[in-house]
Amino acid sequence: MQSRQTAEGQMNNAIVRMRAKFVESVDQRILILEAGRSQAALAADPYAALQMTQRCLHSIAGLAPSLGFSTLGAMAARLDAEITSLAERHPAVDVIRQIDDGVEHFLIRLEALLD
Amino acid sequence: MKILCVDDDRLFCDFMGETLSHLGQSFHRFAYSGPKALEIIVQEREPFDCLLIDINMPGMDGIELVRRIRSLSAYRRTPIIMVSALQEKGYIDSAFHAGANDYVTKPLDRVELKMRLHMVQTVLDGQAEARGLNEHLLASEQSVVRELSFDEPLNLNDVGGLIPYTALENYVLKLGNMRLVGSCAIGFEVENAETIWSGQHGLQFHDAMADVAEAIGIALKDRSHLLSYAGAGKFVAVLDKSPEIVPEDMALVIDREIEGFAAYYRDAGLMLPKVQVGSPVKAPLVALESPARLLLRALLKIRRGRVTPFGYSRFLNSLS
Repeated sequence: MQSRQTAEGQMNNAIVRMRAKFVESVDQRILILEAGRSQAALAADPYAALQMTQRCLHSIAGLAPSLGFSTLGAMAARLDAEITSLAERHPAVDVIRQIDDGVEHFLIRLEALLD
Repeated sequence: MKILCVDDDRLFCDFMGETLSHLGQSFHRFAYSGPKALEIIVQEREPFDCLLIDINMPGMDGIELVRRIRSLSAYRRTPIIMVSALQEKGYIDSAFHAGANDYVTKPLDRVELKMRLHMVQTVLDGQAEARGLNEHLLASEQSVVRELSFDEPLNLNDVGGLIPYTALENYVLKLGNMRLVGSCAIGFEVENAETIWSGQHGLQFHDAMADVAEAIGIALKDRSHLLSYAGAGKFVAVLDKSPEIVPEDMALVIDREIEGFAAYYRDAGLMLPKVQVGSPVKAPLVALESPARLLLRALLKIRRGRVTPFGYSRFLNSLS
């Protein structure tokens, strides 16, 4: 019983450490999402920009909920799915335009973690 | 258990590492890309016991990685669990087609992972037992297949497109009843399997079942499907939404393919397998039962609604 509690305690401590690491990685993730938006605005390579954005969202969707950031994870998953669905019918440049409000909203949420 | 975890997200790998340690699996390594994983796998002297692989990775994705790993002889039977946030049926289908044994969705659920690893351990124990029997076989010139029970799903991994029965169960469980709607399962039975089993050397039984698997694979080749050997001379396939299936036509193709082996079987004094095809069982719109019941119902259907196959030779005779 006691050893199980110790193991749980160790896992909880690990999650606390991982949460801190995740928050540390938020700056980098914001930069990736912003870079995706600006690349798309310049129409340099909208497909690459969209891929970069989706990969970043996908990664957050997979990790954040396990660390207790469930709302953030759900938002990222929703945007990820929206991109997949829109990309089947629209060119990358249009997809980026259509999801821009959602990404902006998500960035605000992400930045809040840094406060 | 020696585990390799492949994911391009380093933070996720860290988290997976902590989770594995918490579950008592402290012998694990990480690779942050497909090519790096292959490099580690080739370099490692002792093969990994289990691989946990993400799908969405830049460059080589997880599905391509599984395909390449399966082409390595030491990794033909190694349990591979996909760990991915992708939940679309297309990805799940591709993963099992490529050779994955199981599919876990992110965010990672510790209890679920623990359960899956427990299943992997059971598979590994079974493989170790088979290896032990193999050594016994070399010593006694008895077939390992013969040592196993008739009902046991043999590992016919050498046949392309065939997946272990546990993997097929995991596949339908992962999809769940909702996403199985429109799919169907078909059972196949080697009608004289028991006679073949009792009258032939175990390895010959294995080879006969492999020939049957190949013939079924050819009959299904134009349809997206997953096929597995369920034991006791029975096979079951899960087919995607596809045009109407006529079991009689399928039985004809299988019979024709098996007839192609007739000369070899005759020369070797072996009995040619005779295959029955069951009627397709559709996944129900509303189902309260476990999705795995679909497989059982398809197997039961061979007995109940047995389709009498035209023997190909009989068919040819009827034409002449």
